[in-house]
Amino acid sequence: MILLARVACIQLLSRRRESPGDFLLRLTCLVEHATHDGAQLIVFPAYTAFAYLTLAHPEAQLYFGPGLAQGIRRIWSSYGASNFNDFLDFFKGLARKHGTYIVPGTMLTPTGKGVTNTAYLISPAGTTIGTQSETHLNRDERGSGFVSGDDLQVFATPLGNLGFVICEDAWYPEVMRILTLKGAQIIIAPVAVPKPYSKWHQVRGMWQNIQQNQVFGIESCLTGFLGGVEFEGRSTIYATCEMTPGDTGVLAQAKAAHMEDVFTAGLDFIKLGETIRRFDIFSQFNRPLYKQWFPHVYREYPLPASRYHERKREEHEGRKPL
Amino acid sequence: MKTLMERISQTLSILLFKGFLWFQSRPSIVKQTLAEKQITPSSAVDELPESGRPSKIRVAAVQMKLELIKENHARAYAETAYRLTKEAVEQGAQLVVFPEYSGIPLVGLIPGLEDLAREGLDSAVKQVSGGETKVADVFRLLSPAVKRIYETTFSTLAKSFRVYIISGSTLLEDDDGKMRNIGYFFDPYGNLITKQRKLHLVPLESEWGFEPGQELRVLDTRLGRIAFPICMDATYFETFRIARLRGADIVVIPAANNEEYLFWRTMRGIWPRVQECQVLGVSAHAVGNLIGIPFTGRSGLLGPLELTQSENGYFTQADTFNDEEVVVGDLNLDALYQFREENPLNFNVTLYEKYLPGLYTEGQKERTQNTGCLKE
Repeated sequence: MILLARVACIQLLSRRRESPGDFLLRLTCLVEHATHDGAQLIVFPAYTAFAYLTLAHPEAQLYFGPGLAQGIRRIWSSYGASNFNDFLDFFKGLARKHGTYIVPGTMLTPTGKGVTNTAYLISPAGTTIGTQSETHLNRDERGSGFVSGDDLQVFATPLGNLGFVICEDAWYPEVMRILTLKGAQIIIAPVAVPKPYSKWHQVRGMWQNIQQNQVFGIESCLTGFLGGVEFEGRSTIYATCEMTPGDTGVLAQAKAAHMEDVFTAGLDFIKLGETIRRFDIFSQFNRPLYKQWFPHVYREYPLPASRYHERKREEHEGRKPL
Repeated sequence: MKTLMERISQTLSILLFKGFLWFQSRPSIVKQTLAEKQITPSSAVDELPESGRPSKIRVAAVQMKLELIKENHARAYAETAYRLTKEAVEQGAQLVVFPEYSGIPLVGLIPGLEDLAREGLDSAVKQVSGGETKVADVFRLLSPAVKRIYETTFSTLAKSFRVYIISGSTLLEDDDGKMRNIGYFFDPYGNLITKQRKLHLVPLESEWGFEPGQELRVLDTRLGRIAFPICMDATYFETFRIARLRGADIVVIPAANNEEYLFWRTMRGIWPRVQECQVLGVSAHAVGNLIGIPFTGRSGLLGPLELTQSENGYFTQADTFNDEEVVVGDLNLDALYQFREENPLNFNVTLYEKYLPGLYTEGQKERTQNTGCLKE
């Protein structure tokens, strides 16, 4: 394993009107910019492939909403997997050419029940090392026919152990805890968040999860218009506060929330090791407490929210409070 | 090797000191001190419904300055706690929250401690015991006296002001003989509702010989459903997740951060926990400098970003991080319930069942190995 990895974050601007060829040319330029700055791993935001699909098949009218999964399936049945494979092959070629790892954002992939929001990890040899589907879905995603993945993978690479946190996953601390307990040291987060951008919403997602797990994070945000939604976000490369200038927890960040950007940062594993040795948050886990409540404490929650709160209220009202 | 005479002399010294502590900590001193104040009971808790949850509650987070009490310990402690509670109650507080280590000023019961501890508490203990005693053992010796003053003070204040009080916490010998960081919750009649033991310790507390608690209480009160884990417990999402899933609407964190105030580091505690668990939060911080240990923090009332006017997650917050303040504000439970209805959490229980809780043990081994590799 190398001790200093240089990684790049691509903040991609999705445009409503652009030819598929121009789009791919733009992606090529972005990758070249990153590799010119020494990047060994390049991360694109969520829905990068979806942006390509909307440009390649404007007739499919791919909009976020109830018909999205059906639209994706329609393209899949008309063209087979060729669009998806072409897109992946394009990135595989770039990875081979530049000898770098690439995460080409996420793809919406049809499954039996809907579509999964799935990230790919491509090796410098141009092969797919693995995939990871989003495991937590928000109401809009569920409404658009997304289905969640039910496992989390960690991929061992010479750059470090990589794990994925995709879109909504960033706001569920369980995801990064499981990944880091499985050995992840760099968390890759392809995300796409509708505007307006909120710094504090970002802090309550990736920033704080990086802090409470003492790992590195690369959050790549989509900006611009896609599927009838306008996205904003400030892509960021994170480390623990102790390792960053001004104690901010930020190694590098996009200049603004609404424009395209490319930037890199070095991930110093020696410093990370020192930080953890000074105080390893995991050393103070209260395992007996977790064992007492996990996982069964979650089981009663998936009741529809209204019923859940109703029941809590009933419980509440049934007893004389202290 | 100690001679028999040295042992006898040491035992007699300890007995004498225990007698001194017992005399200094008579509950009557506290009761007399507070009786002299002629406290008028508040009517604020009468506004709370007898059953069901309230629409909103008014809470005070006491940012207490920790200062060593050098003489008249019981009286001085009761005076300080009275002054702060009064300030909170006068602003309509129904619940008053003190910070972690709020009972620590009573460590001044050890004569000459300030001189002994110039180079830190650890060093003082070594000086006195020759390295055979842990810091926790010193607190064990003080524990019966501290407990009497502490319990009597907050119980009497709760009853006299007719207000709920979360005492913060202090270091005490627990029922099983282990030393723990323990918080108290009193009702407006002065009854102890429950105690909460700190569940995740900072390394220094472990080194000093303290033990974590094993149980997280979630209490059904007229204020709503409340949990009050302590300080470091807020570093771990697990604490708040368990509290929330067991029905907590309000999570209170008495805290004492003994480090320089750095904004982003302070954001690693209660703030993200409130956001990810959709609860209302109260943080009461200790400030000041106690026997060379600095404490900093800004107390406040917190909620999901979407519920706070400034959209930064704070309803109200202390103006300073190193001065005494009493921060008072409202927590709106109706708004919280509406927010939860509109933004339900969507857990992936199948995923958790695969890994939790087993991975907590396996994962630690993995991390230790990784860190070891990096060292090489």
